[in-house]
Formats: sequence, structure tokens, C-alpha cells
Amino acid sequence: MNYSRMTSLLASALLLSTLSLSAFAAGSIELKSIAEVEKNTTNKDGKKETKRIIAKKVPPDGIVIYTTSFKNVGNKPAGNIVINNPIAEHTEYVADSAMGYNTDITFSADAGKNFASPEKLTVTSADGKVRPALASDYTHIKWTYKGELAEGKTSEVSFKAKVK
Amino acid sequence: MFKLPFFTLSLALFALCCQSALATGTAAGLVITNSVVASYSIGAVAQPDITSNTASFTVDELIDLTLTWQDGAPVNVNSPDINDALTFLLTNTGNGQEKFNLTRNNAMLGDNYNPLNGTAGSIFIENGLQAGFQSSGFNADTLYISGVNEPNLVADASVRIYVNSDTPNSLTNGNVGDVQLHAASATTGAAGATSGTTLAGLGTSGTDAVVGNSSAQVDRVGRYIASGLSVQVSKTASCTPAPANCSKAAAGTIITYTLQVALAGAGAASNLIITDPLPAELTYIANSLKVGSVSKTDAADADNGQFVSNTMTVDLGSPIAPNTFSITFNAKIN
Repeated sequence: MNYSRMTSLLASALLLSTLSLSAFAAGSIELKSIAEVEKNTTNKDGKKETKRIIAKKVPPDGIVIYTTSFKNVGNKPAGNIVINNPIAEHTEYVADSAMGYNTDITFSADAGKNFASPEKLTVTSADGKVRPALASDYTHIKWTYKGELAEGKTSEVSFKAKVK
Repeated sequence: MFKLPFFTLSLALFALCCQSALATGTAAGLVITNSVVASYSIGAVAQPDITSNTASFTVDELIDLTLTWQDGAPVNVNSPDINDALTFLLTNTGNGQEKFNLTRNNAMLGDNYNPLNGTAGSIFIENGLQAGFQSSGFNADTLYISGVNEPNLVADASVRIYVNSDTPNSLTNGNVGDVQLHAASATTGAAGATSGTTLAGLGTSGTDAVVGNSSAQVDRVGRYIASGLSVQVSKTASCTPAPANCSKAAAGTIITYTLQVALAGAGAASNLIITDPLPAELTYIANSLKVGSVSKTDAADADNGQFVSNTMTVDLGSPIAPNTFSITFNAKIN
């Protein structure tokens, strides 16, 4: 038996399967979005805790925390990573809630055409008047990851939205 | 239907802006979805955009309501009286369809009397056929029957509720009577629950119901005021020459009759006409009729006084109470 040949065959088979898998996943980044709500509970010691649970049902004015994780599942560092999250219909962005390690965060108040930091963001009304955009005017949030995300690494970004 | 392609979102958001300004909250049962798009490069080569999974949740039903007393001022009633309504407005300020139970409380503190449940029925629901309260007739509003026809309102809808009362007799003008209307969600466990209480599976279309700031019930008080209009006419006589009380007046004595018309209470007396036929023993002194200090001709003409067919008639129109009028005329004893 030629063990060395067998190993190389196995290795190439593994490589092939990895390649086909990544092609199926349409890229080297895996994106996952979850919606959670905070729930106040009392633990067995009688202490009050705030837990995050997956949002299934939320009443109007309820706050939902959206977290997007992105993982480099490829074998090379990924750069120029930009995460774009349209703010869902019937919800509005909660001011100052967007977070993301090692990211620049900008917002759009015009359906994703232009992005800027909150203090530079404006809204132009139908009669041409320009005013500063409010959190409730935001339509999109964009996180621009600084530098590269190494292979195998995961990072995440999040924001809060209120159900109207 | 809410998972929109990225490029159509602007249109969707425009449509949303106006809808949400009107609605109290996002409709119960609606599914809200979120999906994220990422772009990136590998070794400075841009890769195709990737899209995340869709995270979604369902909007719960929020149970909330408002109730307001609409009359603005105490409702005038006579003593006794039947079927006078206080008007309330019930609004579903939640985000799903909800039924509401109604009850009234006549025994409120801080008033002068207890209104009675109305003869025609105690609580009515506006049926929309004719504005205002009708207790009977072709356009009669709907009698509320507990457990049968509770107002069942979609989100943001309102309905007028009439609390219909009778008024006891012997009240003094100015006496007030209060009635409290209690409106409460018919969802089991909702009414009186702490704001934020979740009632699993009891919301619109299988959602959970969440009790809002109103605790799913509201009490409002409306007030009646006894202001029954009364008209009193008193007649006095003085004689020339003047024996005591004109009681032994001789033929030829001139008697001056004074009719004091007094309106008490509140409101207008419509078409108030005072008539006084003279007995055969008296002869009217022509052109002696006065209303206040103003002389009136005897003929049936444009002024509001006349003496025709041996009867004095004064038309006071529709004076507003309180008010008094003085009518005088002279007659001679035959």
C-alpha cells in the first residue's frame, strides 16, 4: 500500500469538497442575523436579571436588538467588509444603539443612497427644506470594518430598533 | 411580503411614512423581517455581495383603549325625567381588533343624587343611522346587552356610547347626579392587569396579547344637572279707589291686574303665551295693556299683546330662563 499517495488523494478530495462548499455559500464570509429582546427575569437566588432571548413576538414600542455576526470561513483574510442593514419596515432605529468593534458606522436617511455620520445626516422635505435627520428617519445602517478579518475569525455588529 | 428586495425599499419606506403617522401601532400579527447584505474583498478582489438569513418576529397585540366624556358640560335634565343620555367616546388605541365590556355605576360619591337606569335601557351604542342619541324610533341606537353585542373595534376605531338615565322627582335646580362608565377589554385576564402583562395566545390572530398603559380598562364620569325649566304665573290686583284687597270693591272701581311671569331653571321656554279671559263682571279698559312699561295695542297686530274676545293674550316668544315678565292691564267692575 502506498500510504503517501493515499494521503495526497484524501487531501485533494478534502480540498475539492471545501471549494465546492465555499462556492455553495457564495463567498468566504458567513453572515448571520438574529433578532432578540431583553427579558427581565428573577433567578433562583431571587436576583433580578436581564436576559436576551430570541424575538418571536414583540408588541408595539417593544425594542428589538439585531445582531449580525460575520465569519471569515475562507482561507484568506477578507478586506473592505461592509455590512449594510436596511431598517425593517414598521420599526425605527433607536438613537446611539449601533455598535460594532473596529468599525466605522454611518447611516442613510434616503433609502441607502447616501451614508454619513449622524451629525452630518440631513433630510430634504418635499418643499426643499433641509433639516437634520432624526434617528426615526434612518433607513439603513452601514458598518465598515477597518482592516482585514483574518481567516477563521468572527466579528459582530448590532443595533436596536423599536417596533412602531 | 415584507422581505423586500434591496432596491425597492425606498418605495416601501415612502408608503410607510404616512401609514404609520395615522396608526396607533403596527398591526398585530404582522411579521417583521430583517436581512443584512455584506460586501467584501479577498486580496483586493471584490467578491459578490452576500445576504444573511432572515430574522423575523411577529407583532403582538397591544390592548389599550381611551374613553372620554363628550358632553363638555353637565347635561340638563328635568325632575322627574326619563331617557336623557350622557355621551362617551370609546376608542381602541391598541393595534388589533378588540371587544370591550361596558358597565355603569350610578352610586357615585360627591354628587347630589343618583341617576337611575333609563326606562328605554341603560347603555346604548351609536348605530350610525342618525347622529346623537335616539332611545326609540326608526333610528334608535343599539341597546347594549352584556355578552351579546359588546363594541368590537378594529385598531384606532371609535364608537359613541350613550349612558341613558331617568331622573328622580323632587330635585332642586342645580342638583347634580354623576354616572361612571367603565369600559374594559373583554380578553380574559386583561382588564386591570399591570401594564406589560403578556397573555399568551390571546391576541389577534393567535398572537400574544400585551396589556398597555391603560391596564385595559378606563373609568370616566359624566354628570347631569337638574335644571328643569319652570314657569310660574302669579296674579295680583290693586284697586282705585282702594278698599282692602279689592275684596269689597264696588261697581265702577278700576282694578289693575298684574301678572308676574317667572321662569326658573335653565334653558328656553318655547312659545310662551299668557292668556287671561276676563269674567263678565269686568269690563276691560281699552288700551291699558302693558308688558313691562311698554304699552300694547288691543288689536291682533304686530305687537305681542292683544285684547280680543274679552281675553288678554301676550306672546312672550321663547325666553331663556331665568327671567321675569310683568304684564298689567286695567278693568272696571260692572
